[in-house]
This record gives sequence, C-alpha cells and structure tokens, in this order.
Amino acid sequence: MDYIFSVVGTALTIPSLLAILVGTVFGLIFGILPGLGSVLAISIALPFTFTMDIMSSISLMLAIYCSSVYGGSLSAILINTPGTPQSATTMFDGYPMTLQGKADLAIGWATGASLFGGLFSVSILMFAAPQLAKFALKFGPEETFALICLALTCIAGVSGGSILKGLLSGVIGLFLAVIGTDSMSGSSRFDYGIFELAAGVELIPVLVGVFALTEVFWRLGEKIPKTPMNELKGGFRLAPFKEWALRWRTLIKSSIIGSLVGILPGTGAATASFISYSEAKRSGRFRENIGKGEPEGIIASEASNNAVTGGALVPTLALGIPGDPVTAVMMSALIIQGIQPGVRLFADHGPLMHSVFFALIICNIFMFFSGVFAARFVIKILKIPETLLLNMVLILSLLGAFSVSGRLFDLIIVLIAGLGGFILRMANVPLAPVVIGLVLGPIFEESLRQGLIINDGNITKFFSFNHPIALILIFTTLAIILKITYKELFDSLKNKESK
Amino acid sequence: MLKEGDRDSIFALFSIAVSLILLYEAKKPYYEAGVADLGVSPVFFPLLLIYIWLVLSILILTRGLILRKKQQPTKIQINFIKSLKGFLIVCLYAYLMPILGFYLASVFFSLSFMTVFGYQRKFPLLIISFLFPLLLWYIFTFLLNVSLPVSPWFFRI
Repeated sequence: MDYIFSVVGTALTIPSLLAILVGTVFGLIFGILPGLGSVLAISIALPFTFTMDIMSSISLMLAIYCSSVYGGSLSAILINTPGTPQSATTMFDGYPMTLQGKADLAIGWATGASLFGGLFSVSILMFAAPQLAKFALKFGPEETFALICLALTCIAGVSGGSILKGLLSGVIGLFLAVIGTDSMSGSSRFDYGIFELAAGVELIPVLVGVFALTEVFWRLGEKIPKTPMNELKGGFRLAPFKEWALRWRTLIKSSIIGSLVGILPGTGAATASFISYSEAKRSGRFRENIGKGEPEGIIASEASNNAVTGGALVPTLALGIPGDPVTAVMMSALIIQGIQPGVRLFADHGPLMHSVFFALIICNIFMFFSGVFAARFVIKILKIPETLLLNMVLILSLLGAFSVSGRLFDLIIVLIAGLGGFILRMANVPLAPVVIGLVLGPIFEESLRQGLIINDGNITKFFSFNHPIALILIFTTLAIILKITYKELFDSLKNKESK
Repeated sequence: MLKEGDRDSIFALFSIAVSLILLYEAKKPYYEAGVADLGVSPVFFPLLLIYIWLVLSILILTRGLILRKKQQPTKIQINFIKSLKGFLIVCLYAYLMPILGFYLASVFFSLSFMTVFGYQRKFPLLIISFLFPLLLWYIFTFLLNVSLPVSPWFFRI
C-alpha cells in the first residue's frame, strides 16, 4: 500500500501536474493547427525539460504526446483538414456531422473515444513493457544488433514513399551518429578538423532542423488554398451512454488495434487509424452509414490513434528502441535526465516507471477536460495567422537548439539540418528514419563491434544456431529488404513494359 | 517542370557524390585499426554504412532512370523563392544572435520575417516582435537558468 502511495505521490506533485497542464494546452494547440503536429511540439518543448525534475519532464512530454494526437481531430471535424495525419480518418465522418449541425456531438464522440483509447493503451503498456523487458534481458550484442536492423528496416519500410529512400534515410541518420570521437578507441571520425564536431552531432539541433525548420521552409513556399472558417462554431456535447453502448465493440476493437500497431516499430497512429477505420467499415454495427457522418467512424479513428500512445512506449521503454520520431525524442528526454531506456529500465527504475504509467493516465484525463474546454475556442486557434505562428516556431526552435549546450555552433547544425531536410523532402525521402537512425546509431555500432570482438571478428557467428533469436531477426530483416527492393524495381520495370 | 524519375535521378547522383566523398575520407591511413581497437577498426562501421549508402543510391538511380521513361513531367507545388527567403532570414538571425544578443536579434528577426512575408497588422506584429522574445528571455534566464547571448549594449538582455 505504501508503495502505491509513493508511486502516485511522485506523479501527483505540483510541478508534475503543472507540467501536464502546460503540456496538454501546448500539445493541443500544435495538434489543432494543421501541419504542425506531435513531433514539432515535442521537439520544441524538449529543451524546456533540461532543468526540470525527472517526473515533471516526462509528464510534460507525455501530455504533449497525448493531447497533440487528440488535437488533430478537432480541426478534422470542424474544417475538414486534419491537424495531424493520424486524424485523417476522423474527417470522413466528423466533417459530415459538422455539416449536419452536429459539430459539438462529433467532438464529444472524438474526445470520449480518445480518452478510452488512451487509457486502454496505458493498461497494455503496464502489462507488456515489463514482460518484454524481462524477456529482452537475455539479449546479447548479437540479438541487439539484429533487433535494431529489423526495427530500422520496418521504420524505413513504412515511413511513406519509396522503401529504398526510407532505408537511405535511416543510413544517413546512422552515419550522423558516427561523427565525432569514437567511444571505443578514442579516435575522432569524420570531423574534418572542426573542433566542435569532435564531440559529435547533437540530437536536438538535428531534430529541430529536420522537423521544425524543414516544415517552416516548406510551408512558406507551399501553395495551399485557405479554408473559410467564418460560419463555423465549435462546442462539446457527449452522446448518451445508450449510444456509446451500441458501439462498444468498435471502441474496444479499435483500442486493441491501436495498441498493437503502436508496439510495431515505424507504423504509428496514422496506420492504426486507417486499419481501424477499415475494420469498422467492414464489421461495424452501423457500417453502411460510415463515411456519411456516423459516430462509429469517429470512434474507430480516434480510439485507435490515441491507443498508439501507450503502445509506442512499449518498445521504447522496454527495449530502448523508439518506433517513431516522437518516442525517439521522448527517449532522448529520458537519457538527458540520466535514465537509459532499455532492458534494465524496469529493474533499475521500477518505481519511477510505475509513476510514469500513472502520469500517462492523468495526461489522458487532462486531455479529455482540455478537449471539453478547448472545443469552443478551436476556431479562434485556427484563425491565428500563419506568419505569426511560423515566426514563433522559428524563434522557439533556434532558442531550443541553442539552449542544449549553449554552443552557437549548434545553430549552424540546425540550419544545415533544415536545408538538408528540405532537400530530402523535395526528393520524397522520409525524414523520420534520419532521426531514429541518429538515436539508435551509438547502440547499433556498439552492439555490432562488441559482437565482433566476442566472436573473434567473425560476423557469420551472429547468425548461428547459438543465437536463434538473432538468426530469426536477421533472416526476417533480409527477407523484408529483398522483397521490397525486388518489388520496387520489378514494379517500375513492369510499368515500363505495360507502357 | 520535372518528372519524378528525373528528380530521383538527380537526388541519387548527389547522394552518390556525397557517399564517394565520405568513402575517400574513410580510406585515409589515419583510420587504420590500432592496438586499442581489438581488431575492429574505428572506421569499420562507418565504412559499412557508406557502402550501403552507395548501393542504395545506385538502386534509386536505376529506379529513377527506369521510371522517367514512363512519366509525364509534373509541376512542383512549392515556391522556392519564398522558402529561400525564409532560409536566408533565419541564417541572418543565427548570425546576429551572438552579435546583438538574443533579444535584439529576435526583435529584428520577427519584424523582418513578418514584413517580408506580408503580415501587415501593426499591433500583433509589435506585440509578437517585442513581447514574445522578452517572455522567452525571462523564462530561460530566470526560470530555467539558461544563459542566452546578451547584447554588448545592455547589462543582461
């Protein structure tokens, strides 16, 4: 009993609750505004956590994560433009409800489903993460190497666009991680005599450059028509319990889909909401009305995308392998606070992790109430002029990158990363694998080199029957790479022939 | 007006050039394995990455060359001049920060950024330009204890 009080007490301190409140509002605004989203919100907020205590900094990150995922649904419902990609399917039934004059009810459905999905995923996280970590304690360098190979391949494979480009993006990220002093031999690598590079490339400036600056430069040049918003009115109304009871199956099924998809590296909330929406269209009680303003469609989309939040934290916390850029930033926040996510996390910081689970529950509850209050102000938030907004994002981004180490050199890194990100985006290369590669690079290299030293420099011993898990993981990775490379080249050849 | 295949090919050629530059650097004798490396050279992993980088770039180039023959040119929906203007203003901001200090550089940046991108309402422009950086300076200096670059003309700001 004392243990439970201690865990709850750690999560319920005034600074933690304040961090959750601020994070919820901040995340909600970034979620509502189309194009900004979770990654940008969380990367801008990260530098603010440096001087916070561990619990407050994690609470801030979790609150931003939950509310930014939810926030996207409000703009999807009201202006037919999803604030975040994960809310794209919410638009299919949310906006027709707005046209029918039921915007407040649609927001009620989205908020309720988001709360349920979020809380459901916390229970999955509480159960799955410690078990997975316990299992992964058996992992040696060979298994870690093979697991990261598979994770990076999956992330590159589902990041959108060409898979070859996704893999290249991951390799670029891994390469950025090798710049600087080698931790094993002490020799410097690829620093080209630049003193500041000897310490390596910091994650935050790259992250801010690749996501924030690239997004700003893109939006400045983008030719998009403006959505008229003068006649719209937000609001919040919860449907009666009887209506919810009629759709309980979709609510639970979508939460399960979201949590499971979240656990898989690289998939994310957008994938979960599309799978869940399709499933509701196939098997939902009101399937014939889905797409015409049926709340079941909103439930399917919102319960699943919010259920991803807990699911995505499972591999991040238990294995130290983030599945998307948001969890990669959250992992860096933990590392900055002196906590290394991975197999030893639950053994070394068990009580803290239990407080984190409790904080995630609080974040979901705050998200619900912020939705109730924010619903009437959404249109005002959406009317903030883009130039003002981008100006503030730029100041916050550069300030955040500078404050990590106080080096002006990091501002140069931000600018180069921003320009590089813009070029990659122009070439349709996904950006998420760059950041995940940069985060996983040091562990990946360390596990490979440790494995080689243990096995007398013989890499084939990684794939022997002495390491069955590594063998399975490596074969799965190779199978995926061969299949996707063949498919991409074969498809382009087939298209050419048919022409 | 460019075909997607052409765009991919240009990107792949650029990527091949970068990987060859990195390969040239990695082959320098400076990186040869020493006694402390336990037989695994510090450049072993980067070399592996560079080779994968090169192979992937060649595959993207091949795919691009195949694709370009069957595609129609499409117009890129981006106004590069606007993006370039934004980039140059941010570069100027980063350059001025150590010279003018965070606050003055931010005021200058906000005023020029919003003017260049056509924002004309004076009251919000002045509020955001003068008060937003001041608020950030206060939060970082006093609440987060992070020192920001100061101007040579004032004591702390």
